Amino acid sequence: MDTLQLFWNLVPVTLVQGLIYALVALAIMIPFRVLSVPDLSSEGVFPLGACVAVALIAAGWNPVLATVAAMLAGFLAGMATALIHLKFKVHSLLAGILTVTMLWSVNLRVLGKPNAPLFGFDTIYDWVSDQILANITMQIVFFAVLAVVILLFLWWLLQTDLGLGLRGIGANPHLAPALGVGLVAYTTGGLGLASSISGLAGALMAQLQGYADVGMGVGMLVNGLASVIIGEAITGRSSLFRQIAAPIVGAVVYYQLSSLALALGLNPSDLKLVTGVFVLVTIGWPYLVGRKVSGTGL
Amino acid sequence: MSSTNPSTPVLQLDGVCVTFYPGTPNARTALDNFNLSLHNGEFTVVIGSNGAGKSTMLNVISGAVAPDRGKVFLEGKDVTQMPVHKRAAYIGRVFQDPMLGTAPALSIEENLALASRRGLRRGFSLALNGDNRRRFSDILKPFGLGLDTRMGAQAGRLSGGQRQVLALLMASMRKPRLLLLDEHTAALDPGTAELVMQATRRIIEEDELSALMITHNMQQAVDVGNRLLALNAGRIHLDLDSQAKAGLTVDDLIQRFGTLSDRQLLHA
Repeated sequence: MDTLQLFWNLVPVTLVQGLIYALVALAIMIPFRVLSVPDLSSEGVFPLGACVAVALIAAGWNPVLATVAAMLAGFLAGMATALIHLKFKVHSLLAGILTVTMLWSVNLRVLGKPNAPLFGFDTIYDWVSDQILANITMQIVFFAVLAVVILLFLWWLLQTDLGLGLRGIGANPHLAPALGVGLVAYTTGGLGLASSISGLAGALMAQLQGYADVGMGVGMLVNGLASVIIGEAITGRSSLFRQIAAPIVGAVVYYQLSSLALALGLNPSDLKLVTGVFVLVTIGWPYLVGRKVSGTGL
Repeated sequence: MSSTNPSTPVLQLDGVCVTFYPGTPNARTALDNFNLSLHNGEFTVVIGSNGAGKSTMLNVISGAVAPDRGKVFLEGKDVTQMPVHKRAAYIGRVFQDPMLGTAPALSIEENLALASRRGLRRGFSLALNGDNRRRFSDILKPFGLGLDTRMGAQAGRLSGGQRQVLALLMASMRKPRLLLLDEHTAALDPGTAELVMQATRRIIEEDELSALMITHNMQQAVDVGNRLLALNAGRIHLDLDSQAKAGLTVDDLIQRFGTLSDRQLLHA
């Protein structure tokens, strides 16, 4: 019962973690499912957001503006990935890897050193309330509300003419230009939007934990993918709303499952392997039970 | 598009040359100093054996292929450097493959909503609302395929013929200045092909559209349209206006045109 007690005590903290990383999962889902242009650059964009926010706050900037700047930095990174993919005709996965690689150096430059603390500076949370940093329940509410706001925003956006254009590219990139949807403009905008959400997550995490570290993003791609896959298995993809909700639901569940696994004695260094296997099993389950699977795979 | 001088051709191709794989042993001249003027209201059928340049011509017009030499004009405007998505403001296109003309993961009404903004700025207003749903339902009803009762169904679930009807509607719904039809009934069974062809004629007639239709079906070439172009080796071999075209039979066509392809014989 010790292990379960340990897990139970950690549920609130893990919930906050899951809700922040839900944003990264959204940033993975949008290019992947909406645009059909997989972009895996969150491993570099998440720390970019963190480094930009911390560097600016430490330089005296208003933390809200610093967070917005972090989102803009994310947007630019997404644009870079899109342009590498479109103009250099590089597969989007490779384009994302190139962006992550280049961001490693960029992040170091932005922060000035491998990690930097935020002691004594106001963060965005101080603007929300005095007590939130000490009160886990308030944090849960804050991040849950944020996740819901972003969910509703994306749900609305993807139903506008502009959003339908984005979905059109994902559904049929051959047809979209014939209907006036410019591939370059829309893909750049779409990947930029997704990466700006990653940047936001990084900025929020850095201000919550009180520091930024250039290595903050390492390994989060697999976690994000697992979150998307688990979420889609839970909510299904039968409607636009479910598709957008999936990464959020999935991230919350995934991080709780990880916490449970660790509490049950899983070696932390084995966590990545177990995550990978779990993702494969979730994707592969329909094939394993012999169900007919239509369309392309992951 | 604002009103232009009625004598300005809807489409003009000037000295267009396209060679694939230039300088290699596979070099193939698809269009050879190609000139064409299409005026308002001309419904032109294009025939020719494989490799004659028909699809390349459509691709040069739509912007999918850039000519090595020559210019493309739409309504008097030089669009040679204009990318596909900007030219889409003038052009509606139906592809041969029914899978290419609709977005399979989107619903019927979402496909129509997407098509309804061809040539218009896309902004932040909701793509679907009560008004345009009614409009889409009215557009779909006359085809008797029941599509108006299942507008929320994914386009990918429809049969090839239904998707092609939808593709035709999507291409023509905003009265394009030029409708490009690339063997759009070739992949359909005879019954559905006939349905789509009738729908095509009705739409072109009612909206007085200018159109270029490629076909390998000699009967279609004879029955449909008010102008006929026969292409061969990247050049125009035969150009019949409505008078010359009226009363042509398939045998006449085969005799006058000469070069045959197996597909043409099969359809004759």
